[in-house]
Amino acid sequence: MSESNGKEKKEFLLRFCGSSAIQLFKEAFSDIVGRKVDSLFFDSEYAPLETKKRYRKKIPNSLKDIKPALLKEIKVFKGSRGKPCLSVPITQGHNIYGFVVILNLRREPDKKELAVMKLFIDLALKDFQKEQELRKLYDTIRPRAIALSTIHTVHRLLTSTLDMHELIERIARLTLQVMRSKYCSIMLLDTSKNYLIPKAVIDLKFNAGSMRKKYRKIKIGAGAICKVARTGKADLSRNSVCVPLVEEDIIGIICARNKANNTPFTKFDMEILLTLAEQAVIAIRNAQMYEEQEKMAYGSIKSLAALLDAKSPHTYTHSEQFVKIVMALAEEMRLSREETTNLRYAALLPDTGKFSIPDEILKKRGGLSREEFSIIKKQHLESLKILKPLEFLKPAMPTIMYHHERHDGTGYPEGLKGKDIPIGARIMAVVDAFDAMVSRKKNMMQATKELEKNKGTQFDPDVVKAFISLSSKQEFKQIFL
Amino acid sequence: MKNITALFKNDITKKILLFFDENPQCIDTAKGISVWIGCDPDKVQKVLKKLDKEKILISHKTASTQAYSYTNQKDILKKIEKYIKTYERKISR
Repeated sequence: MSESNGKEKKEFLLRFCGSSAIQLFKEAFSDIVGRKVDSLFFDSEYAPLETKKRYRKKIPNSLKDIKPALLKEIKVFKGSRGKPCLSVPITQGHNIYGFVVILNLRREPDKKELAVMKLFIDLALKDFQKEQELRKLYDTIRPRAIALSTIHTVHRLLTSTLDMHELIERIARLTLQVMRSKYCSIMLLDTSKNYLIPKAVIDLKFNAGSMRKKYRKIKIGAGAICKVARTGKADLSRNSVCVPLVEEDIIGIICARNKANNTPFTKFDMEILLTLAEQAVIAIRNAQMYEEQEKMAYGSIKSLAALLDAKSPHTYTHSEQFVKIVMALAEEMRLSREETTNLRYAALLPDTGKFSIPDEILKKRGGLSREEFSIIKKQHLESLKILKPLEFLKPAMPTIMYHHERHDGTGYPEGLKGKDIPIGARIMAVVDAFDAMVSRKKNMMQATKELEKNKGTQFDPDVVKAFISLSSKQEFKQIFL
Repeated sequence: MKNITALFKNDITKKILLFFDENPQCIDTAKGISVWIGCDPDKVQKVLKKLDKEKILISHKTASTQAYSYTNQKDILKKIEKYIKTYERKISR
């Protein structure tokens, strides 16, 4: 038992005396002596636990000058009106917590009954101690386990996106949640390390917590936030907690202000925010690396497209307008970020394989012979050959390969049908046809009608439906301005 | 938001609301929350979705998981807190 000092001992005793175990003890004793018993509780120095006058009045005079040292065993003594009373020590080993005194019994209990009572109270004490220890454990471990689980969930939430904008907003919202604060800002240092650039500021006081769109960069000076960004040391005050985002070097700060219930921030809050910042840094770094990698990949494809374009403009690649329509349609159809990225790559290089087709076939006006068409149909194999070494294009290859397939299975190269054709390829097929018609001087209305006419045969009806919906929007018309 | 008394009639909803009132900073998945309140994860998931619709909880969606946290809306928080206080008083009687 760890209750070493008197105050803790007394508190423990108070809880024990009010416990159900003591109630049970009194009931059991009442059964033995045949009447409802009255009881008093004393601490280890034999001072009454309750100081009320009504309570003190009950204490028999014979008990007032008693020496607790003499009462280490269960003892019977005479109370008021000469009726027998019982003092039962609440002990464990040599440790005396206090005494329970049963007043004015009808008869004196025999030795056996006393032994049973002593055993009962010892067992009740042991049981109560276990219960207390379990409660203590529950009270200390449970909040920490919940906090740990929260951090684990935060980690999962942060590592599940590589989109920097989405990530920063997510970090800000999670910070607000975990800290239960009304305000959160995330700022990253610029390359010169002279300015903090606010990336997300959420203030629940304004606009029901919406993100503020305009931020002013802050020159690193003497303020508390700047000090954190300069020194890398967290700052805790009553109304704010600010921690650095450190990855080898300081890359920024997270700052939370004003707790929702107006209580001050504690060291525990700071620890939690520091842990969250550590997770955030990894996620930010991953997103930055992904952004750089994406830029590099996009740059390589653009170079390749420019190289092909130099030979014969728009024979192997399409116009910027084509890529924009494909992207807009992907958004209209709510494709995932990964699907959209791959579709963008595919849209930049849809017919790379045409490089191997002789110019006379490519530039031929009028119909193609069977032989010439079979050469055209093989262009996807050439695309594959050219693009295969570019590993990052692997996920985009099915879109490039199959965008000449038709919904009814009469397309090429493999005669795939319906949903067997990758979604990117189905989208590209529709936009490819639309782009071709518009470039052949058909107006948009006519081209759209033509698409509708061929839905279910040449084109996926869902994609055509989405295209028609998109074509009525202002953003679509702006592509052609 | 629905009538709180009606929400408290469902045992799992009651447990979830009491849990978030006690741990307002928590963000956890249905599986995690079901452990904390000792209920079936599938049933907990259903109630969490409902509470998200009622704007009592905020859902955080990702590709692989969906986590839930307590609302920040003061008016909702106040209503729930008030109800819980009355509820606890009733229980202690």
